[in-house]
Amino acid sequence: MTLAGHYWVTIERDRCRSWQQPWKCGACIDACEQGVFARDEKGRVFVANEIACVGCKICMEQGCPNSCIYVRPATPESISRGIWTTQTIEEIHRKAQTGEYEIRGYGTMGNIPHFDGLVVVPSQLASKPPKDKYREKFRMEVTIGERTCTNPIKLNYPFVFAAMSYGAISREGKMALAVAAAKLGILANTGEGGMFPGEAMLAHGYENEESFRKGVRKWNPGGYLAVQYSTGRWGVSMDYLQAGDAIEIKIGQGAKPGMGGHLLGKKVTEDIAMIRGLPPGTDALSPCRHYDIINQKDLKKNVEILRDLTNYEKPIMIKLGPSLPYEDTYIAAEAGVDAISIDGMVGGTGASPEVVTQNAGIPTIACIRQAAKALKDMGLKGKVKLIALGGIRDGADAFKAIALGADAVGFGAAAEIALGCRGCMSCHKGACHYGLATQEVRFRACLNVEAASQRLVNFVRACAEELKILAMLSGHDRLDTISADDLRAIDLNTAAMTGVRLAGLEKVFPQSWEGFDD
Amino acid sequence: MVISIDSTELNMRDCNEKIRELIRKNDRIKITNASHIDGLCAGLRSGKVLVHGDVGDYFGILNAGAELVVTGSSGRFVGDGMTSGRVEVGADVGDGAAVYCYGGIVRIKGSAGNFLGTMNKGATIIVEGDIGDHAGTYMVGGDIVVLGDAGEALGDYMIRGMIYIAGSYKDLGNNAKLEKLRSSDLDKLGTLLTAEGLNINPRAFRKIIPATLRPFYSEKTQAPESGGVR
Repeated sequence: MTLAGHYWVTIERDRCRSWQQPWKCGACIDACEQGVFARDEKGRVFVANEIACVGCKICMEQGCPNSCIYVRPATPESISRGIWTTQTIEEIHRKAQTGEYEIRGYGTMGNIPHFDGLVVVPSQLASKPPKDKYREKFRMEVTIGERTCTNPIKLNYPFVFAAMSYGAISREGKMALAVAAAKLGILANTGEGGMFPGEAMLAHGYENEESFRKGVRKWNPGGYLAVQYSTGRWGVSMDYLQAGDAIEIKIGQGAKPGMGGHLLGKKVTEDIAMIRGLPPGTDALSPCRHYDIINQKDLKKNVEILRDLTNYEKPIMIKLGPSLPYEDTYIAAEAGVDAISIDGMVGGTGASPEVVTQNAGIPTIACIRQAAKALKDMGLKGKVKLIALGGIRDGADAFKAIALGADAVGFGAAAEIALGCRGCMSCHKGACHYGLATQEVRFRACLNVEAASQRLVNFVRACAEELKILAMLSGHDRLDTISADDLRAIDLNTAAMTGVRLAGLEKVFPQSWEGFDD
Repeated sequence: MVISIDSTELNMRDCNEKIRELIRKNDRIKITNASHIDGLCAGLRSGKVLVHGDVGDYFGILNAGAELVVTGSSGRFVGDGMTSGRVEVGADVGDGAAVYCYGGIVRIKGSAGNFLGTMNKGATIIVEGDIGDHAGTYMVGGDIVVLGDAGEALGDYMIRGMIYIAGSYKDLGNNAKLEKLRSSDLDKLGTLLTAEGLNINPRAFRKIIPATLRPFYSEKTQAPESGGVR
């Protein structure tokens, strides 16, 4: 039997009927096709042949009336059962019962190649000497839009917060993100759900209207807020566009590229409905494409018009899902944007059909190098900023993304986790017990804005220090000298996907990457 | 006083800058030769602009209170994302007219292309001629009044708002249904048509409204029964 020995079967004797009244019950013996259970000479049921168990769990479901049988895999089911794991079987049963596909929050689960396959090459004799992290300076400021705008964005750290809409996230969650951006001097993002009153003020570091009028910041140095110009155009007006410090045109996102934002009815409360212009209780499903951006020329015209509407003061950004990174980046840069955010498939979301989250898109590491190459080919490397998003967890991921060609990175899920998220993957249900992905007052009260934003600030500062350590030990004192030569791939998949030299071989693998120069 | 701008030699940036500068001091502006400009009169907050002749794409995009009148025809996406004010086009318009609008009035004296009033969230759109396919797709508010005929999938997945049509249509979209006119509708239509100077009996219209509030997902999708074969 192929599955011999892959399962542990236990009977809880205290609750088993045959151990209290011998020769009674025995339903498990009848239920099991494999002959796992038997009676002893006193009539009590015991696990006679554990090795025969195939993990079908019929004894648990059809047999034992007292639920005292436990069947647990001894080896991971993906190894022992191949594709027909309990997960697969349960998923088919669920679909067969309900006739509906599953919707859930959070990002891609499972084995997607990520930054873990890359290591950083430290400086020794042959390379340029390392820099001293404790005694030397490291410059990590990034400016977006210096060429084209009168008010460019000057980030203190090469970090931004990924777009999360008001609606998907509670008002307190959005406030914490904005306050953290103000404390750090980085860029927060409204997401596609419009802006709640005062969001821009908080992101700029002002606590309330009064301090804003007086010009007294509570949180220094004051951050920035990008307003999203998305496919649903929720809450978009002249006031909205002019309140932000940058406009981000959303084309797609990593968790569900090719689809619009999903906000299920439970989270569309009166307040959300008012800001978005929807009837309360309906599902806010953004269209998959812009109805007024049909082709590349339209995109260019839109970028020009948005610049005109903001008086040529503010940077225009674009957010792309993971599709054809080289071509997409090329077209976006040609349209004249100042920054391109490219989201890998592991990027998270508040709600998405699971089949899309799990299957659509390409990994983050495979996007960045191609996108950077497109900018290089156009002569715009460093001028148009590339922001990598999707599964950035720490300073090491940030360093690796920057080495692959990004100018800055975005924290989405990691920022949520710093605010308190535990990763229960139920953002779509709107009952987040930590007050983040919810609109219910009783849950929202759980989130203390000041404390949560401080946690996020601490997290980002720690990541900045990690990035600094890795950059300085490989001999850099600024961000733009970091390149793919500072990395080595430790597995073939990563090497083939990123074109980073394979550790030990010291060559790119396969050879088609040779001559790839970004 | 009416100030005239000849925009033959101007591009979008210069022309819009000039309009914004002039509109601060003057109430009325007249523009000629602007058919090559896309995004003309973008995001104006007040004033009255009269454009002689045709205009390009994105005319009056994100209009926030101005009254814009075009004597000729317009390209695609006229009045895109408007929040208040009024846009009037004297002849035909292209595809995607008045998409993403939050408010205001769009009046089209000619015919309109496909995707008219898509994702309309509160604007009143009046078309005197015919309209193309997919008009009022995913509409969540506002009114669309059509005096002519419509194409396929009228009101596809609409969630709120109303479409009034006097002519015929090929078919209704998903989640759209025909309903009888009520007296409140007749009052509303009558007031609107009179204000617009259209002498038509409101009883000539048919009303199309959304069937359900949640056409995409049922409660079952959100909270599926737990798995297992039991």
